[in-house]
This record gives sequence, C-alpha cells and structure tokens, in this order.
Amino acid sequence: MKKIFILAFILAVFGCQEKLDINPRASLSPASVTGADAEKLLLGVYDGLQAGNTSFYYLSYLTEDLSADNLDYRATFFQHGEVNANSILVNNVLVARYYNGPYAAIRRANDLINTVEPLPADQFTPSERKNEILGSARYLRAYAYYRLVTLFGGVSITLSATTDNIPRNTESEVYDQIIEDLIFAKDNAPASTARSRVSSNAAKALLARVYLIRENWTEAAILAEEVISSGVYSLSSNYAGIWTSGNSPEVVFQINNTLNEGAAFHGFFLTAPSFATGGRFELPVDPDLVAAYEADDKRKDGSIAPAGGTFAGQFQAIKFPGGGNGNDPYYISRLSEMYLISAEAAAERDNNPASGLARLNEIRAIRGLTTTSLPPRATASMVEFRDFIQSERRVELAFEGVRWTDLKRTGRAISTLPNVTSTNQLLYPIPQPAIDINPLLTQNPGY
Amino acid sequence: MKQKLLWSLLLSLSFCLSAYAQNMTIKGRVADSETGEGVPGISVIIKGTTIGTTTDLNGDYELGQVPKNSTLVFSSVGMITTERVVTNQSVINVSMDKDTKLLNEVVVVGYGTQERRELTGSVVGMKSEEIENIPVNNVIQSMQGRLAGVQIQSANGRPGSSSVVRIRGQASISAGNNPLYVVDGVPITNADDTQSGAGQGISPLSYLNQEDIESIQVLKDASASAIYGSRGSNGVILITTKKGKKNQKTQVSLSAYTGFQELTQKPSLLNAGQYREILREARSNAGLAPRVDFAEDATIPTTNWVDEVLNDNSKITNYQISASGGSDKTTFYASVGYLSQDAILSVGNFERISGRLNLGHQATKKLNFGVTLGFSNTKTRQTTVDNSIFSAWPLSLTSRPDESVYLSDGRTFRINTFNNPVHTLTPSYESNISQLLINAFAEYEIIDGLKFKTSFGTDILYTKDNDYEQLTSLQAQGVQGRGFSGTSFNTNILAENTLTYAKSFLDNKLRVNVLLGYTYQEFVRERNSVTGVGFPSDNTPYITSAASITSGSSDWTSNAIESYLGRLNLDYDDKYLLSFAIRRDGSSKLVNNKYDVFPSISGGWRISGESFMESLTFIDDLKLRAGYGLTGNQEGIGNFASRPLFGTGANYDDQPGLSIGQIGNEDLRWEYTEQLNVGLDIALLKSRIILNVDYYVKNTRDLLLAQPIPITSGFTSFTNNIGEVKNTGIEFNIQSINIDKEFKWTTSFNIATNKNEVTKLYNNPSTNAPTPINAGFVSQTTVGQPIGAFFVIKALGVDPATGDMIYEDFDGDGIIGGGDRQFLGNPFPDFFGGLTNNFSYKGFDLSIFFQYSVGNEVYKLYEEGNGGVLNLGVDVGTATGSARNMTTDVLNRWQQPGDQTDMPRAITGARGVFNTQRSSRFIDDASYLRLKNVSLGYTIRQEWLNKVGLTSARVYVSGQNLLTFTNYNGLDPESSSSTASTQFGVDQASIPQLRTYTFGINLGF
Repeated sequence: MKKIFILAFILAVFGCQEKLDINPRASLSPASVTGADAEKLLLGVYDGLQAGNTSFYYLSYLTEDLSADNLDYRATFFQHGEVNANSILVNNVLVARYYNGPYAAIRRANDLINTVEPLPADQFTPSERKNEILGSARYLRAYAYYRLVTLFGGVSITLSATTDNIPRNTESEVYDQIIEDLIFAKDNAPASTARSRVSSNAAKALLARVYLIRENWTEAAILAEEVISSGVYSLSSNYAGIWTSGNSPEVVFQINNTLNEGAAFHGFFLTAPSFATGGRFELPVDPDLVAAYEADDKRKDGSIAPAGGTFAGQFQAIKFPGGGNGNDPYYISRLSEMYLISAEAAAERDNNPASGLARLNEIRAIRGLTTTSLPPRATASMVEFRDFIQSERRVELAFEGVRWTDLKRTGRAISTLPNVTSTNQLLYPIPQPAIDINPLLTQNPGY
Repeated sequence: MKQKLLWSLLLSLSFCLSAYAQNMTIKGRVADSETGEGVPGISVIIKGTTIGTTTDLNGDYELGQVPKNSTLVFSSVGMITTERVVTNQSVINVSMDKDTKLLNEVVVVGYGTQERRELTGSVVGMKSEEIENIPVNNVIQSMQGRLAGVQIQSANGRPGSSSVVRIRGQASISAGNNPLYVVDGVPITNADDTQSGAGQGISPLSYLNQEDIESIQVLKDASASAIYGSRGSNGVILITTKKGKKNQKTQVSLSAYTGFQELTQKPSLLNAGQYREILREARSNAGLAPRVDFAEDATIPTTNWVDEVLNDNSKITNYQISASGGSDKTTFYASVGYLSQDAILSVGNFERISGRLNLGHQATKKLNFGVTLGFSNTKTRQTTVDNSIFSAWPLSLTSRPDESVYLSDGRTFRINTFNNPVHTLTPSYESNISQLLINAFAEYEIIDGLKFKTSFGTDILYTKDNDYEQLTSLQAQGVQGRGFSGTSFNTNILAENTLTYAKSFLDNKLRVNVLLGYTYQEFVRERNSVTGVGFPSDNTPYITSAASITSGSSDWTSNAIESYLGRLNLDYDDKYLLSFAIRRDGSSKLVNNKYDVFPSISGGWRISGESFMESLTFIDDLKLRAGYGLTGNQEGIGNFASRPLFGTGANYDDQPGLSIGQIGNEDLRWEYTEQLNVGLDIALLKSRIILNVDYYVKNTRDLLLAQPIPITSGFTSFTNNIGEVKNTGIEFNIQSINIDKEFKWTTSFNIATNKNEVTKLYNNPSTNAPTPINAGFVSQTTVGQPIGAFFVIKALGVDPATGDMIYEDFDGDGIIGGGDRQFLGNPFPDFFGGLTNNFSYKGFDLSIFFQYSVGNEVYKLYEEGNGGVLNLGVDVGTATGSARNMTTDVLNRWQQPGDQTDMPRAITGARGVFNTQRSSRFIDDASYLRLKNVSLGYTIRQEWLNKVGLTSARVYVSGQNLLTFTNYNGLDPESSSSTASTQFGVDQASIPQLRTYTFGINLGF
C-alpha cells in the first residue's frame, strides 16, 4: 500500500509534462503559416485595405474630396472640420488613422511577399500563380504607399517586418518604390479577373495615374491606352448605374466591402436622412461642386441629389447607396479615368490640346454632353485645355479620392481653395503620436 | 425568600444523599469530534472538587470514587469544556470540540490548516454564523466591512451583479485586481460567461449558497498567499463548506427567511410644472421667445417615471434544509437551498437552487477519503445595462415628467421624446447557469506523521443565455424583433498531490511541519452564439423562427497552470515561529518566461511565551509577526496574448483570409508583487480583548501596459511589462467581550487605510515623460496619482453676478479647455471598515453592524451635460429641442443677480453647455457610514422545544442597509458603473443599493 502511494505521487508529479503547450484555435503561429497559405494571406492584404477589420480606414476614402472642394463638413467629428478647413492639428485622430491604416496593409503585404518570394514556383499550381500572387500583393502595397505619399509626402519605407524606428524617405523615393511594385504587378498580376481583384490592367491603371502625377506623360498615355484597348472594359451610358448595378463594365478595380464584412460607412456619412438608407449627412456636397456641373450632364444626377428635409437647399453625394449596411466598395480605378489620363497625358506630351481632344470628347459624349456643345477646343490654348480637363476630372471622379492630388499636382490648390494659403497646407501633418514614438520622424513644414 | 431557602436546602440534601448513596468507577475515552481520534492530556475532574485525572496517550481515562449524579468536567487548552452527569453507566465516552475561538482557532490556510497562534502571515476570516441569514445572494456582500483591509463595494443594486473586492488596494492597471477564490481547495473559475451583454453581468460567486459556508479566510500578505504563487498578488479568499462531525447525532436544520426590498435612496425629481418652468427660463435667459410646447399648463399631470419602473412588491426569499452528522467512520453534510430575489425594477429577478453533499470516510486507520460536491442552478432575468439608451433606470430619472407612459387607450406605449422607460423593460434577457463544484480526495498515512493526499477537483460552469426583444420593443422594433441565444461551457479541472509531514523533535520543543505538493489546473471554455432578426410573432422567440441570422460564432480557449509547491513551518517552544513557502508556477499563457518561482519567508515571536512576560498575567498572547514574499498576477493576461499570431477573420469578398493578428511579446512575464508585512497580535484579559495590527508595503512591478511602437511595424503597440504601482496601508482590528454575564455584549471593530500610487508608466522617449492612460470619461492613470484618479477642470462655483459657472484657468491660456484639467479626486477611500456589536440576554440576541468608507469620491456622470439630471434646459434653444428631466437640486438655481448658490442659471445654448460641462462640480465626497445590518432574534427555550421534538429554534427580524449617513448628494455613495479600477467610481446612474427587511426562522431537529 505504502509503495503504491509513493509510486502514485511520483507518477503524478512527473506525469503532466508538456501540458502547458496550449495553442489557440482561432489563430495560427507564424511558424505554421507557409507558402501554402499564400492565397489566404493575399486575401488578408485586401482585408487590410477594407474599412472593417483594421478600423483604420474609416473615411480615409473621402478625405481627398473633403480637403479639396467637393465635400464640406457639417457636424459631429470636428476632425473632419479640420480637414475641410485645411488646418489640421497634429493630434487629429482621424488623420492618424489615415497614416496608420496603410502601414497595417503594408505589413501584411510584406509578410506575404517575404514568405512567398523564396519559394520555388513549382510549389504553385500553375507555377505562374506564384508571380500572380506576388504581383497582386505588390499592387496592394503600392496602393497603400500611394495613399500615404499623396497625403503625407515622403514617408518611411519598409519592406519587411520590423519594429525598428525608420526615418522618412523622400517623396520621390516613395514614388520610385510604388512604380517598381506596379511595374512588377503589371507584368505579373493575372491578366484579367474579377473587378474586386488585382489584375494586370488594374496595375496599369494605377501606374498611369502615378505617372501622371510624376508628369511622365509618355508612359501615362501608353498605359492608359493599353487599358482602354484591352477590350475588357467599356464606358457605360448609364452613369448612375455604375453605383447601383454592382457589375458596371467601367470598373477596373474596386475594393469590396461585403454585407458580412460591412463597416464601410462612407455612404452613411454622405447621404441625408431623406435617402433610402437614411444617412447622417455629416459631409454635404460642396456648393462649388454643385455649380460645376454643366447642363445636361448625366453625372450631376448620378452623383448628387438634394438633401431635402431640414437640409433643403443642400446636396448629398449618392455614389455609395449602401449607406448603413456598410457594403459600398471603394472604387480605385475606372475606365473613364483612363480616357481622361490619356487625353491629359497626350496633350501634355505633345504640348498640343488636339492630341487629347478625341478621348475627352468620348467621355463627354457618353455623359450626355454633345460634342457640338463644346467650345472650340481645337483652337484652345494649353492653359484653357488644362482648366477644362481638370473640371472634367472633377465631375467625373467626384468622391472617388483623386481631387486633392489633382489640385496639388497641377499647382491649383492655392488658387482654387480659399483655405489654402501656404504650400505647407498641401501635406497633412505626421500624427504627433507617431513622432513621439519614433524620434527619427520629422514633421512636415508648418506643423 | 423563605421558599427559596427551603428549596435550596432540599436540593442540597438530596445531593448529599445521593452522593452518599453510591460511588463508582468511570472509564471512557475522550475523542476529537472532528477526527474521532483520542485526545491525550484532557483533564477530567469531578465538578466542585479537585478530584480528577487526565487522559492517556490514547485519550482513555479511568476515575474511581465518582459519586452518582455528580458531574464530570472535561477540559483542556484548545478544547471546549464539556460536562457529563454521572448516572448509572460506568463508561462515559466524550467527543470534544476544538475551541474554535480566539487563539486556538484552526485557520484554513493554503493547502492545510494552522492554529491562529502559529500564524506568521496576515490572515483574517469569518465564520458561518456571520454569513448565515444575511439577505444577499452573494457571499461577498456579507463580507463587506467585516474584514480589515478587505474593501468590498457593490457597484449597483442589481441582484447577482458583481461586487468589487480589493484586498490591500489595487495592484494592477490592466491585468485585473480580483483576488483568487478557492472553494474547498479548488481555485474556481471567476468568469462571467454570459454573452448577450444585455444585462450587467453575474458574479460567479453568486452561484454559491452562502448558507453552506463554514468559514472564509482571506490571505492578505505575501507570506500567506505566496503558496498560490502567480495568482497570489491580489490576495486569496479561501472558502470552506460545512462538514459533518464524527460521532455526532444527525442534526437536521431548517432555515427560512422572507422579506421585502426597497431602494435605499429615491431621487427627487421635478414635476411637470417645475420642469416646464425651467425650460421657459432657459430660453428666456438666452433671449429666446417662449415655446408653445413648454407652456404653463396646470392641467398637465406629472408622470413619476421612477415609480413607474419600480417593483413595489420586490421580495427576497430563502429556504435551506440541511442535515449533518457522523458515525465513528463516516461524516456527512447535505443540504438543499433555494433563494429567490426580485430586482428593484419591475422586471428582473435572481433565482438559485443549490444542493450540497460533503462526505468523509475513515476507511482504515491510515486511509481516509472524502468528497465535497456542490451543485447550483441560477436563473436570472435582467434589464438593459445602465449606460444604454434603453436602460429603464437612468431613463426614469431623465424622462420628461409632462409625458405619459401610455396613449389615451391606457395600454399602447407612448412614443416619447426620450425612450419610454417602461417600454424599454419589455425584452427578456435571461441567463441560466449551472455550476458543478466537486473536490474528491484520498489521504494515506504512510508512516507516522507522513501523509500523502491526492485530490481531484472540478468547477464546471454551463451558461445559457436567451434574449428576446419583441416586435414592438424599442430595442428591436426596427428589425421586427431580435433574438439571441448563447451557450458557454467552462470546465476547470484540478489535480493535486501533496505530502505532509508533521513531527516533533527535542522533547517536543521543536515542531516541524513540511508540505510538498504538485498541482495541475486546466481551464477550457467553449462558446457559441447566434443572433437573428425578423420574427413573425413574439410567441416564437427562438432563432429557428428568425427571418435572417445576422451573426453567429463559436470559439474555444484554454489555459493551464502547473505548479510545484513547498512549505516548511518551524515552531520552537511555542515562542519562535518560522515559515518558508515557495511555489514554482508554469503557465501556458507565457512563452519565454513560462516558469517562475514565488518564495516567501515569515517569522513570529510569541513574546508572551518568554519568562519575563510571566508577571504580566493580563497578557495572554503577544506576538510579533513579519513576512516578506513575492507573488504574481496573471488574471488579466489573455490566454494567447504573449504570442505572435496569424489571425483568422481577415476575410475579403467573403473569402477566408489570414493576416498577422498580433505582434505578441514572447518575453511577457507575470506582474510581480513584493510585499512586506509587519504585524502584532495581542490577547488580553483571558482573551476578552484581542487586537491585531498590520502594516504592509506592496510594490508591484512589471505591470502589463501597451507599449507604443512605430506604425511601420503594422501595429501601434504591444503588451509589455512596464508599469509599477505601490500600495501601503495599516490595518487595525479589535474584538472584545465587554460583558460576559447573562447579558453578553461583544464588539468588533476594524479600520484600514490604503494608499495607492502609480510609480512608473511607459516613458515616452521623445518627451522623457510618462504616458498617462485615460479610461472612461474622467479617469486618468498617471505617475504620482492613484490608479484611475479623476482628471477634470476645476469648478470654482457660480458667479453671483451672472449665474454662470466659473472654472479655473489652470494653464493660464485664457480659455477653459482640456489643458485646464487637474487631478481632483479619486474613488478609493482613505480608510474604511466596520463596527459590530452583538448583545444577548436570555434568549434574545441583537446584532448591530455598521460599515463605513471615508475619503472616496464619486464622479456623477449622470448629472452632467445635456443628458444629465442637472442639464438646466441646455438643449431647448431650437424650435424642437427638448430637455431631460432634472432633480429638484435645480430648484436652488441662480435666478437673479446676487443669488448665492452652487447651481448655475437655467440657460440654453453655448452658455448652458459651458455651465454643464464636465468639471469637478460633479465630483462629490461619497464618504458614508451605513447601518448595514441589524438583526434581532429570539431563541426559544429548550424545555418548550422538547415537547415538539425540536432541538433548537430561533426567530428573527433583520434589516439590511437600514440607514446611510452621508453628505453625498447623488443616488448612492457606493455606485460605480464600471468595476475596473482604471475607471472606478464614475456613476452613470447605477441602480442604488437595496434596503431589505426580512423575517426568518431557524429550526433544529
């Protein structure tokens, strides 16, 4: 009996080893995530750019239109008011999200790229899939850096997972990184695919815009024309239907927010209580934009509507009808932008408005504006042409996050926006908490 | 007088006669009632003489020449003196109870027991008689004010809700401050697994029937709690349930009480006329024209919303039947209990059915085993949390008194300016929780003094939530009804093996006790839940009838602790005490620092045992104690928080994705507390006065905090061991027997202080300053302040000239704003405790218990701003704006120049916003003295009971929370809407405590 108990004690003491290795069942250890999970990791990068899981994005998609002259600030979040007034404080928590958010996606893209890149292609079926995945991930990383560089200027570039303090790179270094990623994406991403997934054409479309910003007119025009001539997309005579049909042939790439993942409330913040999905109307349409639509322009009724009720006389943006369901997409590239890029880049390349007129008139025609109603553009000066193409971009791409960058790259911000009196205001401030943590970061001038 | 003398003569004569009649020899054995073993050294004396003997090593005695009808007195230090009348029998076996009072009281400590005089740590406790018959559903509530240094505060008056328990202050910012609860040796799962979030949650301690509890011991200092290692920092509460005694006739007892409850404090609110007058004044002061809808209208009836939502027949009822007893081998205790407590709102109740069976069996001389088995089923029906737009109680304070509950048809809820409080009560939020708490052991004595014990325990919790919000409920009318169903299955399994060795050396002068042990405990929780909306009928509330499932989930989580422990207690000559305890814990929650060792050392010097103290006969005991030890805290560390993980849920386009979910920190460690304790125990005048004083310093380091990192990592922070906090305090406890005659009066009083100070937080490298942590609305934690101090702008009063508030421009920038915030109070008391006086005379007993807390502040969030009860019409500036109702405090408002008051003028617009903004105006000193319990009982005389077959009977009336003495002008000085230390003491209109009157009866068969 005695011996049995002693034995039992010894057994009990030494019998329970390794029981402390308890692993979660809703998460995986980094070691167990391999190249075999590449497709899942890629979805994770897309997820990083959605409104939902990172919660970073919030209304970043609308911030360019708010900083510019397409949207106004009405109520609730004074941080939006600061953006609208072009006098952002360094502790603006929304702007901090716009700074933090892309880096969360960049981290995910880096994780994927650095996991997949060393693997032999034959681990993938078909073997081209490896580069398709890498191309897609590099597109998404480029888009994230694009969001950062257009709002904050030169930001820290990181291509790996690190918690080290990294100093800022120059604006041109960031653009170089973006261009490098997009060239890889253009050459390797799937030729064509669902519009919610990165394709070679999506990479060309974004690269065309980046070249436009960098004033590489030749390349911008070539890429825009390649997308137009790809035959995958077509212009739609139903402008309003682009936002409601769900399968418009104009969309080259969009980031989806589904009902299950729904947390994209840009529609909810834009629309008024009178709208079908009854929004909060926190960001009304700037009256200046309302006045910018020409008569007969289908884009007016397809983009804005009277807010009604207590907001009679004001207009609401209606491109995102999902409202409180949070399932509106972010449109990144549409075919009509390629026409406008082609028109602008060709004219600039040749320093001759005539080179861009054809593509410009195609857009105007399909939006209900007869070409005959055009002023005598053929004889217009480049100055007039530039004014004209920018107002065309403004009404065509309103609330799609390009206006602020357009004003900046064309040197029109100070002349167009009454609140902007200094070039310092053209960059958002680096959030103070980021500088507090990383002393290597320098603040943008004027903050 | 003559008669009396005669009687006494007769009596003494008969005594003498019988004494002469027979002398006999009596033999017998004196046994310990608990263990059944013989007790040596018991003195056996014929009463009134000096004739006697003592029991031998086996507890046997033999005494000759004992007169018949004389009385034998059995006595010994540490045992309750027992008397037996000698009749015809020649064998008198006696079972003696240990004297559980005072010095020789046996105290349950971690993994064993000790006599109080041997204790070197700081341990306080309560016994069953202090717990029974208190009309509360949670044993924790009956501990409030009873134990020095154990601060207990009920956050609100909802039945079943959690109380905040802080032993020696708050040692953690983010990792939790709850003590470890150990019931019959099993550290229980202290987690509220209700998932719906609709109600205020349920305390797992309320699953335990307090009538089954024999004792509660609180291990306060490190030398007492280090045996619980990484879970000992917040103190340990050991709960022991009742057991039967050997050789004890079966005793059946029945107890029952019933009573009714009301609010301790009812707010005084404006009537419709007063309300509208303030609204008119608020517009007029802002230069606005009167509005028709605020017209003076004497015919408008006032709705008293508080009365509308209260249950004016709120009851509490408790029944308990138990039986206990034992043969020479087997002991048992069995009970069933039922408690039902209504909420104070017209919806809501708490109902618990519990059963218990505790068995012990001596199989052989060396082998004994036993089991404690408790089962309970708790059902609650709750109302919405207090800080929701659908909470009936806060809404009842602020709903317009000039609006009615129903439309003119008397049954359709009126759609009011603010959610109709009565309408918000329609949904049903029900939880059904079953708990099975078992610990079984076997103990074998290998050689004399060396015992091996193996035990297996489990705490199984099954929690079921069913919520349904009706088609017409305010909560779900927009979605045609909403249903939620959730289950959680929580298993907690404990395996334990210990070896103990007790031996005396050096002529019994050196007593040695050794404990060695191994324990392994594993916690697993599995949950699932589903929500659906769109119901065809309120009679089909299950999700199967829902038109669409809006969310559903299931999850699993687990953690385990593996430990080795040891303790060595040395006692030399009953004077010099030394104790070493050590525990090595391993936790599955940690990666690189999985294992660590938590040691402690403590010593005691019983000065009273020294020869130079012999002349001071009035001192029975004088002991100086000191201890130092290291403990840990892992309560708040997430099961997998320390690991870098790829998370699921990073989905895109409804396709499953993966992404890095947390950066982790594989170097994460426990939070460590080093505690020094010095104490003094004194017993005077035959232990009629007992004093205990303790002083402690608790330094906690490696507090878990979020450390910011550059966002280029993809994350803004990770959890790291950074902060430090210090608690110091003095505890004082005195118990006295003031009068010990037929009239008996005893007093016990305790008082404790605690000073809490954060000494280190994350240091910002750029500014080289600590990063404060904001929580909730007004609370900030920063270096030099207690955790969660109130950080607001300072109100200087009302300007008699203008009626507007004056605030201090602290930063001198000419603007009143965020930069003017200062630390202006905290929710923790400077000192707290309780005072109990017990009286008894003949059959009557009276107990009067006061509990107090001094120096704690409350921030009355429910008063501030346009949503608060002091809004003064701030929102009535527009054509349709309305105001919430106010308390009658606003009748004291400024109305004309020269008025001296602390209540600003009624005014709408920016000035009103300025006047009602968050500031120290809403901080109030919430010190209080509460007549917590008064109980008056009468024990019916034995001779009357014998006729009806009862062995004991007591009837009593009792009142809980009868009176509160305070200058606090809010609802209840104990209120807090959050139980987290970082934002404690902020009241968003919690339901106040209940005053309870009960009538009860205790019967023994």
